[in-house]
Amino acid sequence: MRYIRTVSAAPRLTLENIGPIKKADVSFGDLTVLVGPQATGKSLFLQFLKLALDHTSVTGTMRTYGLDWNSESGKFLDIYLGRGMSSVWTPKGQNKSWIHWQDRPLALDGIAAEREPGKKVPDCYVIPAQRVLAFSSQSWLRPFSDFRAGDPFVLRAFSENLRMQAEVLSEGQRRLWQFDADAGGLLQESIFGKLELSIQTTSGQRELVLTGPQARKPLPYMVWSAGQREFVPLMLSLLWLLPANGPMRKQPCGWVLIEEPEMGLHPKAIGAVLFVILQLIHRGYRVCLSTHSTHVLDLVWAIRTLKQTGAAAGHLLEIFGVERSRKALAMAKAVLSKEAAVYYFDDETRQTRDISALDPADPDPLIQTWGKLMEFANQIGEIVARQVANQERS
Amino acid sequence: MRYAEALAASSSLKAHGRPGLQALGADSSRVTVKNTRSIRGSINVESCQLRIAPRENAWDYGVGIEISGDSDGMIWLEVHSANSEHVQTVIDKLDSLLRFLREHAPALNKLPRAFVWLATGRVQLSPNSTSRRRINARGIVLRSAPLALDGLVPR
Repeated sequence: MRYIRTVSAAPRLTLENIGPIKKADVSFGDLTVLVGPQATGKSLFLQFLKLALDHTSVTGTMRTYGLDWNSESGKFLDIYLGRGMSSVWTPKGQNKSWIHWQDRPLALDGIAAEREPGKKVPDCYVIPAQRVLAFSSQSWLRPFSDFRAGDPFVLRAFSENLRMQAEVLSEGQRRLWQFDADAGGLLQESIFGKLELSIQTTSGQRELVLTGPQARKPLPYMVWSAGQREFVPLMLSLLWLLPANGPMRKQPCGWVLIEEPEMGLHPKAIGAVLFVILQLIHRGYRVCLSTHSTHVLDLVWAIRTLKQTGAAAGHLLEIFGVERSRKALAMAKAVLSKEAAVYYFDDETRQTRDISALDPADPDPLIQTWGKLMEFANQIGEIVARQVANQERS
Repeated sequence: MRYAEALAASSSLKAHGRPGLQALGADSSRVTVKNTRSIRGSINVESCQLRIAPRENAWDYGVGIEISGDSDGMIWLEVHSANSEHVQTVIDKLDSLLRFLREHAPALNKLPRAFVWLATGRVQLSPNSTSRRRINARGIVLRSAPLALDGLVPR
């Protein structure tokens, strides 16, 4: 079965002359992965994607919390992207900044002047790179207003959403993650070992703690491992997005943007997180993530190759060591029918390149090295092979 | 040492040597070279190996190429589909080639060289996989067509 990417119907965002981006042109798949060196604009791109999808929700939320930018686009960006970030925008001249969403210009001035009330549940959920900052030193989640006005909106909104989630959880509730058995098992084993996340109240303060036979006393946030600290906010978000009962997804939210899901995690744990991300895709979310992890691209490459070769859905489950239950097979089959795209943010041309082919032997070095993620590993392989081939010529 | 000299010293292989890339037959369309005059000749290794040992896992081709003004190198080329199921087969073929060179073409065995697995079709071996490490550890590099022959052999 030949795999053909149907780009024509795909949502498309084009950014021009914004910060480090000269031109970023991305047509989204059901799963879209952004790779590239640091400071090439991946994070900025995701924030503008959120803005394109959710600007009325963003401006409405900001006004709800008393933020004021006097309808000026520069001041708006300093609040939305974070202090000093208005400098990424060039309002006029030859290198004027542009946003095109679905091939139509999206005026930043118009967004900055919006006065509509925000929706409770936005169309797009962002899990930002700074997600550990959602926790306060009291092992609890920070409200929107706990941050400074110059902190990025996506972080403040993310933290606020988690806080509201945690507030409705009951004290003493064990196993806060209600993923299905497959995902729950993978996450438990690879990230928490025998510990469980629960809520307790100490001196009148609610806190999220890890408990279990390995810990004599409940472990507060400050003593968690780096991976656990990175993972818990991500996990709580994924739980919210994957309701155990009721609708397949949190309506009307249709997009999930995740920055570096691999942060702080062991490869086995990255695999578990990727399995949950596949569940998001199965449930109909469009997922866009940025990454520096070869594991993420390994999975995209595997999905594409399995799809191209007409492989049975069970092979996708084998990657994760998940049993072929009817439910898991249905999920894997659905994922293999979805579209995946990979874009490279080039630090030299400051433009994006579609490297979705991910052919490890492609003559184009950017495709061959998966957007330079494999460059170092390839270089090692080539040098070792050359040395071995010539060591015993006799 | 020069390719022609080394080939002439192998009584088994010299009859299988051809000018340019002719020994590659239809597979010559899978390779490119900037300077065709750098190609010293090619050998259909498989036909020779199978004549001597019909049940061997025979390697496909050898290509002699100039690597500097006074020396030549060899590109030993195996054209094969590239997925993890074929890794052991290609390694077995390399072992067979190395045995053959030691016994039947010691002069060619002394030339600087590259062992290249030229993939037919799409490469289904992740660059991040243990399989890739295994073939690299045996001295083999994996490439897809069109294969640029220039610069493959170290000087």
